[in-house]
Amino acid sequence: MAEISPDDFDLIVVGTGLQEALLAAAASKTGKRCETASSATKVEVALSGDDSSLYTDVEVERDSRADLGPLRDYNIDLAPKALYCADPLIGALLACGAQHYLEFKLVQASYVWRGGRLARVPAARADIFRDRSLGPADKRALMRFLTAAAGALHGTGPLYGVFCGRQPLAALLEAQGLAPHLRDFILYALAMADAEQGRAALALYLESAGRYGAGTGALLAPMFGAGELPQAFCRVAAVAGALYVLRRPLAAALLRGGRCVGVRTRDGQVLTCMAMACNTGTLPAAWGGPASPSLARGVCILDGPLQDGESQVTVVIPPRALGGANAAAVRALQVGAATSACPPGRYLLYLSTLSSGASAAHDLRPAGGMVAALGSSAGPGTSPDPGGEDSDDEAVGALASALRGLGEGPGK
Amino acid sequence: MHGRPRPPKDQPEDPEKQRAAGKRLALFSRLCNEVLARRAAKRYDEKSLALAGALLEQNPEVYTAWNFRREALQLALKGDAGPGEAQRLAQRELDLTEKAVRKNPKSYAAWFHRRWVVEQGLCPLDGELDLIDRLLDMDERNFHGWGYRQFITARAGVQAAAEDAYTATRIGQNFSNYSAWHARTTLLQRLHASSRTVTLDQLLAEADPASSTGESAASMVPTWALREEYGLVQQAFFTDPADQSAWLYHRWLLGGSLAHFAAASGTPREGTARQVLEEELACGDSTIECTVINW
Repeated sequence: MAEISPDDFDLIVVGTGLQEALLAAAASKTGKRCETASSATKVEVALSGDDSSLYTDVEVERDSRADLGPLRDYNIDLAPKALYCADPLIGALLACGAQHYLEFKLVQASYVWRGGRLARVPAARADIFRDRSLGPADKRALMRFLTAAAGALHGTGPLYGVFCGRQPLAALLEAQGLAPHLRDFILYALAMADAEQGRAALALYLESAGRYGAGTGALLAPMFGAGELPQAFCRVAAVAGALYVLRRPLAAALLRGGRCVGVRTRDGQVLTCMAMACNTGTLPAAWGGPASPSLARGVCILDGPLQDGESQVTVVIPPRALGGANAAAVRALQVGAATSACPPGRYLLYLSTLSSGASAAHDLRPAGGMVAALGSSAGPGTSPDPGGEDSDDEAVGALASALRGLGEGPGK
Repeated sequence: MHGRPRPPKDQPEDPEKQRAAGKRLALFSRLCNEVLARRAAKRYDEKSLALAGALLEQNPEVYTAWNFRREALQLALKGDAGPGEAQRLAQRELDLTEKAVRKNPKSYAAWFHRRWVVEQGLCPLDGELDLIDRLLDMDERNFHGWGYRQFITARAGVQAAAEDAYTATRIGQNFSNYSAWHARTTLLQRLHASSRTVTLDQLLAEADPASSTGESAASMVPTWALREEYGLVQQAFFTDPADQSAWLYHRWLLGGSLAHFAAASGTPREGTARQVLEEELACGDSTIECTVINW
């Protein structure tokens, strides 16, 4: 294997996940602008070895009769993302110029699982107008709350004092006199919160709604999947002068006086640096940072959308809404061929939830059952063709071990 | 264009911009004077038309230039221009109006010219609805677009039911759209005009100039259709009682219900008609929490 040259860097970043790529981009861009650095700032990124140790159990299920379509057209994410339009990550993209390498599609609708069916979340004025299932009082209450909350964000309006308080969002909504189903909408679908926090999330939602077009939603899904995000930042870093080294696993980090001064690759080459950055998952357990919550993730390939005509949607199943089977909220993101994540006629459904400690399949199977129920129900409100059914179900359950402390927070 | 903020008035003048604007103004004045002179001299050659076109692309409001082009086209049509040539000339006019409308979507002169060209009957109407659609995507409250749409749909014989669906879609996207609600009023009359049974008394009453046309227009709409419309407009003012377009439409519907009530007085239907009126009037009361309501 060729030697890596030069072998002295300001920063060595290990791994090309989103966090690592962001750091690499930030470091190389500031390095480029910093002329006082004694040596040109170069950043090395090396792929660490084998990532499958992140997962504790994996289960794959496939209907052998199902036709998946051309497999090359799939871009399945292991860490799927839908971004808020006003997300700080969007700001970071724009600040470093990564937006040139990315495209996004708007998420078209959000749904909440209520009473055995998917209820569309009326998130904006036009949605509230169109939703005939909401009574007049509900419409007024929802509209009034959303306007007041938006005003409170800007420091005006009747909710300002209340909004700044310490009350958890759920209690605040109840105090405002909103009916339970409206509280569910706001809490789980708009604020994307589990019962405890959510004020900041609601603020982010309100800032994001309609940002890229009047009457559009608050969420964006990246074209070609969330895997494009680290790729875009990697490109920014490379353009700014970072050095990428692939397929070079590291054997050891060299410490002197408690600081990292270099690494040694498995081939024996030593690279010196002033600092090293890596994800806690790549470090031995003794060094790991605080344990992060473990997640159960799944992905299903569907042969029809959950709701006709909508390709990118998010679904939230509130805690215990599946007959008590799920203790935590289950979130789902469906993307279709419009985002080029799968071939036409197929849809990817990503599921995730906080792990209960049991296997991922145990945590996510009730949600999978919900999807199947949608397809097989032949009620007049559902799609006329059986396209909603996931006759093909490939579930990849992944459980990040708490010991490793992977720092994967609840994915949004 | 609706929804665009005005630039603040008291900004310091940029000398660069002023200079550039001065140059543009000088050029524009020369062009304008030249075109007006040529029109006065009745020079309808290609060069003059090209100059007029350039002027109108810069400023579609110079209606004299539009008149000039109309005169030129009429002359050409009266002359020995074959059908192919006539179509080409008409298409050229349409292209010019499209550029003008892009520059200023609210230019009366440009829209009038487009309407005039279509009335000459030389061009296919296929692209027109598409153009209107794109305009309304940019600004769904542009009443020029809506008026032109009514003109084209009447000319092209588009079914009223299709237009019903279109207005409903636009209202669904943003119900603060007075033009769309207004389009629904004419649409409802078209939809239900044929199903109306008229008595001689009603005809005489309509012929009477003293009777308000608003009432008789809405009374053409049968009660079941009015009820559906009430349902739709109620969704709007339940969502946002401060939005005026919904209330104006509601008032028009009330006129219809009033006419039905007047027609039904003395008959068994009077009770139901009165009930409908009372319910709808009560809608206003129930939303009175918002002080904007003043019907």
